[in-house]
Amino acid sequence: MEIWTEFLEKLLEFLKTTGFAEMTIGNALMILVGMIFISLAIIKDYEPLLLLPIGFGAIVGNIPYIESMALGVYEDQSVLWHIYYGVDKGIFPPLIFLGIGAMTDFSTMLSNPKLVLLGAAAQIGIFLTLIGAMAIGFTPKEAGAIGIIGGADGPTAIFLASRLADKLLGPIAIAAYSYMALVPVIQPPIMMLLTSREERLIRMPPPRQVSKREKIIFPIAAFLICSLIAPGSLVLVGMLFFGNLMKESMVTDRLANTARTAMIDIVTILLGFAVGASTSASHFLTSQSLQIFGLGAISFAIATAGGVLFAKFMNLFLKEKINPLVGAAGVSAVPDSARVVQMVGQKEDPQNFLLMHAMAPNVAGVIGSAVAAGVLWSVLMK
Amino acid sequence: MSQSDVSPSDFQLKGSKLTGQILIFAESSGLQNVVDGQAVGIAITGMLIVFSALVLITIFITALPKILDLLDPYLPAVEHPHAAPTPAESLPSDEEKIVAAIGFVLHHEMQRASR
Repeated sequence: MEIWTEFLEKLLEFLKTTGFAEMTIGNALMILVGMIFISLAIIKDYEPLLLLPIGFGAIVGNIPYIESMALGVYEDQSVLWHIYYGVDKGIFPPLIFLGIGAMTDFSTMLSNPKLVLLGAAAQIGIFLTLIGAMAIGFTPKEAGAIGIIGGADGPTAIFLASRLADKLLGPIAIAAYSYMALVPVIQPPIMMLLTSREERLIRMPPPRQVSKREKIIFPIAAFLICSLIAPGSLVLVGMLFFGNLMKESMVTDRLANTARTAMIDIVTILLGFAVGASTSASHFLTSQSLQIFGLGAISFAIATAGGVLFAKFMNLFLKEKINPLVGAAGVSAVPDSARVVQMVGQKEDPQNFLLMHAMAPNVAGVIGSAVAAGVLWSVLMK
Repeated sequence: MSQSDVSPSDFQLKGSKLTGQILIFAESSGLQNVVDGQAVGIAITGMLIVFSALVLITIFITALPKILDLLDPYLPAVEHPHAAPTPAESLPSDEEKIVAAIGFVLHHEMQRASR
């Protein structure tokens, strides 16, 4: 009989430690969010390389556990804490930029330099959102980290959030990647609203052939320009152009190949999973997160509108008109926003191929958002 | 009360009340936060810096082909061995193509016979 009582006591003790006993509504809700992310990745094919690791990470991060077991991302020296270290200290984003650089072809940008300005114009979303975030009560540092969501660049958003407002890193990262995945949903209505049919029908001449020497010199020169103007962007821009130089020089094919395949894949897995795991309900389900999601959407919309309107403004002075849809690709969601431009353009004229033209502001947007992050970091860290 | 009955001090009183109300509104709406944090200044400066960086890149890209043309007599473009096309030996030879064709026909015929 005593053995039986002892057994029951131990069983009850154990049951108290299970996830079921500790589960809160918040945890259950976040697990559901994780499942929605996974579903979006698998069924809708929305940014699957990111949404799937983030979604599964969110499920992992919301399984309740006893605090003394040190299992979660925020528990010192836990396994997840070690993985999260790369996010928390801003190590993963530059490594992703290295891979992006090694897979980016800047030819379209080099062949039509004026399109670079559209990548700058789209960054207005970042700075207007900064004002909006401060107006609703966020501190300047938090507002800067939230504003960068408008850059539509996940790694940049994570990098800046880890530097300026690490407590908001989870919601900012999730918002940035969610809106990147939702580019085909968010951008087209804004593009249609701000352009006339005649403007959407504008055809642009094919880009010129760019020499190998131009492609090799560009990353070095562009790095010097960006990092000397905004030293805060040194790490992101440096890795981006270093990766591109490895690709274009053709003497380091093995390194470039590793950077754009194995390395970026490993880092993406770790980053996505760690970000997902950081969204435990107690940290994530706050009114601030909702505000961040709202501001992120506004930021993204303003960025898209900024690019389109600036293209229309440039057309006032240009003989050879730009299709204003191309301006929407100034947000740096590469290559999704360029694809959206192609899709919207071809709805009006199936023979109009805008993809190559849209890639120019798209890659310029990556540089622009990295510079913007550098500027915000250096200005707001004081 | 007619208009002439209103003294300048009344205006001052109303003015200060209005200013007070504006300040209360500003504080409650977060505008004070924007002013205190110099948000507008940061936004304008940030936008200018981003534009400067990308305008300089634009200028550089525009000038680059011309600079390279000028430098061509002194630093001609060299065909790098790494830039050479894939060696021909990696392509299948005529003999290999014939063997592959024979193999395909044999496979096709054997499958048809087995049906």
